[in-house]
Amino acid sequence: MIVVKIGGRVLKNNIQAIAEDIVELWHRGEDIVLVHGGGDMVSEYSIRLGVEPKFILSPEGIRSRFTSREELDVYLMVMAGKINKEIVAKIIGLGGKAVGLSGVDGGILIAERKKRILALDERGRKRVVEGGYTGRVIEVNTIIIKTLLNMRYIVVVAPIAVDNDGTPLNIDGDQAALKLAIALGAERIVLLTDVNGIIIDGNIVREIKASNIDSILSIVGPGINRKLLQAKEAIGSSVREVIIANGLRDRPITRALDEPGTVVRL
Amino acid sequence: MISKKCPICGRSVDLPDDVLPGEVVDHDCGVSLEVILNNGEILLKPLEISEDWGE
Repeated sequence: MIVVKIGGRVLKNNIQAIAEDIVELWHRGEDIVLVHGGGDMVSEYSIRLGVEPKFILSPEGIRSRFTSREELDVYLMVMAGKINKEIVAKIIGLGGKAVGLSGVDGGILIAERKKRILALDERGRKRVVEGGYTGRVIEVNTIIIKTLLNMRYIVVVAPIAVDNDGTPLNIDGDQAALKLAIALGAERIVLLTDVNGIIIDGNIVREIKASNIDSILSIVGPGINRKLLQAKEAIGSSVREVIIANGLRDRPITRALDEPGTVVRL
Repeated sequence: MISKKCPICGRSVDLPDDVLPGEVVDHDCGVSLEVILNNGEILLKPLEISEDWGE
């Protein structure tokens, strides 16, 4: 089984090659779970609908979307609707069998809402702010995904969870993919991004030990540091390798498995 | 500067004049303190937050 996370920019620029690769791998017998991003498109549609996107920066330099109630509506429409269904349609159009779900469906992803989070304000000072409609995954229910995989469907998952009060929540796509990989017992997960891997001092780092992640967080930059923090959490479960690779090329998943950019392992 | 007492160690905590509710200061005693406003008075309480990064 392969769990793949595709970032929004990769999806926007290389959906055809990704879908072709997925269908080819699926024809070869691979079970595939695909989690997608799409934050840029959510921002684009938010602006079109008159909801200004907001971002916050954590004291560790991690940039995150602040999801207001109004933006949550847009997030649901774009993530579970437009993006998810366009991927499914593309795969079906190429001869694959695919089902698109969000983490809300069947309670696949249960999350805890972050009611208060620590962020840097515009003066660079640490401040507690309302967490908005974002969450952290606390439970994964795999029965629907396993059933669909057993029926030879490719499963496409939008990064939306539901909390125990029945509120849908924006969750990080990397986190969703890693939690799913752990719950499904996957050994490898591929995070496709718009860079060739983790770059330090101008060079791609081919391998990172999970135990060394803390020491490099401050030098890899926001975005990538979050991926590393989550990779660290996943390594040591069933997941042996988290592969971070460039998704903007032909056969991006196959090539990520054969010639990964950066591999995080024990 | 505004001077307040740390609710944990009792020593003085200096806050900038333009401090705002919700602001967090790290005190010398090792505790992070959240600035709160109670009936117009600035108070400090230990920060209670389990996660500091979001989506």
